[in-house]
Amino acid sequence: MLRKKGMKVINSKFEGIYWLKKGKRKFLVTKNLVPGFRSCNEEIVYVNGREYRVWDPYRSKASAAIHKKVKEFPVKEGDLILYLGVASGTTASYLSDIIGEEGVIYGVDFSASALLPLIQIARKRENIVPLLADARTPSRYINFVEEVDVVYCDVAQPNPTSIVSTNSNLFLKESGYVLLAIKASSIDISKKPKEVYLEEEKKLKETGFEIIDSVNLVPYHKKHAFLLLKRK
Amino acid sequence: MKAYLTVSPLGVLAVNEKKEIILVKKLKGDINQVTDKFISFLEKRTLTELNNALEELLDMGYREINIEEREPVKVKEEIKGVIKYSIPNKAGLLFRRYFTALSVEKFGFRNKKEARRRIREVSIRVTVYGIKKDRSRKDLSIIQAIHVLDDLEKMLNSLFLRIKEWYSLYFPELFDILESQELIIKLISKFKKPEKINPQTLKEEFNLPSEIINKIASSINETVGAKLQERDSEVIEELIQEWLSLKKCYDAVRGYIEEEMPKVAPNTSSLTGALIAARLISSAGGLESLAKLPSSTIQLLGAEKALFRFIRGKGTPPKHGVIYQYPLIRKSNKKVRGKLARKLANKIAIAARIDMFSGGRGEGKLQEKFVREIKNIVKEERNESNKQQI
Ligand SMILES: C[S@@+](CC[C@H](N)C(=O)[O-])C[C@H]1O[C@@H](n2cnc3c(N)ncnc32)[C@H](O)[C@@H]1O
Repeated sequence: MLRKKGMKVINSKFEGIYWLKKGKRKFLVTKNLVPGFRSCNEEIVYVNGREYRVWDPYRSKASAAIHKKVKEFPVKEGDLILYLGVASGTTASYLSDIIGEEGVIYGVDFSASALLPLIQIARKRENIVPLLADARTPSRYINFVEEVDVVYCDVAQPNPTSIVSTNSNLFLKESGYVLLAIKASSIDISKKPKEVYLEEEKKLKETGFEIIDSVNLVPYHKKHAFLLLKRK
Repeated sequence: MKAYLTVSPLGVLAVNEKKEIILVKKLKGDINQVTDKFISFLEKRTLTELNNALEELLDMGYREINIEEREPVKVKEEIKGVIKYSIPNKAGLLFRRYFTALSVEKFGFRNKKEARRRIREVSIRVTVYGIKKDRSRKDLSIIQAIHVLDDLEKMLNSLFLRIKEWYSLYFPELFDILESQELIIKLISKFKKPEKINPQTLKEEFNLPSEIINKIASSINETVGAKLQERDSEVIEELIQEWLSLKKCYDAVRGYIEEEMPKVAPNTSSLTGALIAARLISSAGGLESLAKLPSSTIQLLGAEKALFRFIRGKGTPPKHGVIYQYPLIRKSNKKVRGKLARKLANKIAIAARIDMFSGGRGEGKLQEKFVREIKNIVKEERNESNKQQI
């Protein structure tokens, strides 16, 4: 656990996300929605009677994107999020802190073993709805999902554009946002990561997305990029 | 008149062409009953409230009912023609957009929180059910069994090696004469000390040919081994009992795989034999994953280590992994091995897909065809080399 002495929490550029300053070092943190409960073996810090969870950029691509100065992070209190590739909910648990009790995360993953730990988290975090399904066949979870403010996609699949666009058409509200993590090697190992990102961006534009920002996640996640898109 | 209908854990909602709500059916019962209903809707495609809704819509004069589902639901034969499916449809779009208002005003929840709690509880239960079902998948047990089998094999080999080294102090010649680990172990267990080995018993109980018996008998007289003391013999016997019990375990696991594989993947098993099929499934991470692999990858399953070594610039590219254990490939001439491995991998890809996706039983046919093709390839190869010699 980090020592309390000399620590200070300051607002980040984004709502519900803070920097914890300790001497020269700073850590991204969120307020724990469920005090006393650790969702993913994260570091917990107490400052002024509040409990904060350290959001490790090496473990979460969203945190890495914020560290790499993504222009906007469009997740705020009360938001509804469709999360494709939620896995065991590491990143989702931080989004769950940000959106609070009024928000909802619909967390889809097709791997039963990946989803298993998320069930425990969802039992504590009442804003997470776990769904065991393939993001390529939304008919399997359409019965559960409301219209959402944000689609978050991190599935490491060869065709993220098609997954994101099908799901956005069904679930994303007009002028909603998409956060998309791209893994170059899942799309084409023979090409350089930068080429892969550019090609995918082109496809996304053709599909009707505006690309607000694109950040390279090196050194936190090699060969990964993080895109912020808006539905036109 | 057209109606559009959507189903959720709250219930059934239908709208008309103008997106006006024409029907609402709340799912009845407590959370357990609702969950059970919903699971049976997702799996068996039937739901009481849905059937009631369809009847009412027909009574109201709707002659085309569009349901927001991909897989058809079960309905009476006479209304099948009335029902269409599309994703999304007007009812679903309305429901998802105005969830908050609709859940309170139409479905009678106290507030949106209560309604969302319903959705979440059903989703957690449905997901737990799905995870449980996934974990009971037979191919996952097969993968565990293969891991255990490999471990047991290593343990048996290393224990045998220890026993062999120890017993070689007293009768090293035995290990030159006999090869089978099990036979050697049983023999030592039976006679304990070399000088007690009895040709008569070797013949009657072990069914050994007289030539071998004579060799053993003469080695006993000429052995360079030391005399085995009672105390040593006792400890060695303990090790032997351990080996035998591991072997029993090994046989049980192997028997399990041979019995279960024809149920898990009948076509793949009959093509390659249960053990190789099980190893392929294990390397791929499951039957479904195997069924989705291209044959070029199947050919190399189990050779991952060699492949990575090659990518890092060491060694030669591997030509075959697990499928190399296939007897006809292992025994074949090096020149044709790659070709055979490719052929077999092709056939495995087909078999695994049938096993996974159609569950059909083309059993045996693929194998016959493969064996025929192999023989042809081998024959061709022989002709080729004959020609060259001439
Ligand atoms: C890189 S992990 C996601 C990690 C997670 N986003 C986090 O930061 O905590 C990718 C996940 O996507 C899932 N996945 C891949 N393809 C999928 C698909 N077609 N549908 C649903 N989930 C998928 C995998 O099971 C895996 O759990």
